Amino acid sequence: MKPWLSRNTMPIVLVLVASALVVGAFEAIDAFAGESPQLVNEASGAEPAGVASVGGLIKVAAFLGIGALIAKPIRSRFSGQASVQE
Amino acid sequence: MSTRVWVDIALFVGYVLLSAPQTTGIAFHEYFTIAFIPIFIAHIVLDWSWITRVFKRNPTKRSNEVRFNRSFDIILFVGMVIVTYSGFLVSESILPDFGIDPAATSFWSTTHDVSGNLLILLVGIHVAVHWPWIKRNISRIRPSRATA
Repeated sequence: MKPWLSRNTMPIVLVLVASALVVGAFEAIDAFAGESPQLVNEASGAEPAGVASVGGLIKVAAFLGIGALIAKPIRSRFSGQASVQE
Repeated sequence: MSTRVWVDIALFVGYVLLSAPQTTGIAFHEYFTIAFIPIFIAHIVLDWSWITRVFKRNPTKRSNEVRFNRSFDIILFVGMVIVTYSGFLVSESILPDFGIDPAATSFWSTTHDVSGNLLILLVGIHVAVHWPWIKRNISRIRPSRATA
């Protein structure tokens, strides 16, 4: 585990720094928007119940499916070959 | 190679579960994020050689696919960071469990909702664009499991 960590320190640090930059940028936007805190909605924290709870997974599957459909023209537009990830 | 594939499978399954808080419940949605973050970082780190190749390639020799993947993956990374960070700021379970008032603003709440929904779409595109690689490598690890 330790050698893997020391071997990959650079990418891990870069990922963390990049994340911090993104967060910093959004905190700046938030400061610019300047809002006061709101109360957390009690009802939204309720646990799901019954068949209605499956709706969450259906939504995710539908969105992923739409994404995959969007990818079709993207793939035909941007590539003539298989994925470049080797 | 098989480690990368297994991490990617775990990442996808974890992401689907995380994206359906209506199904899994808010507490799972928030606590599982803690386990998801290292898997997400591992996904990037294990593909680091591919990432550096894509970013260092000579601009004139870059294919359209490489250009697309480069821009798209940056957007995906930014989206993932935003949705995770805003999720912590609008926490209804983890932070209150530790006695911290999340002090959510509608800015972060809207950001979490919008970026979360948009990200599902982007992940769908990401998976579909890399589908040939995924298919190839899943079929590669299947026989090795059978012979083990």
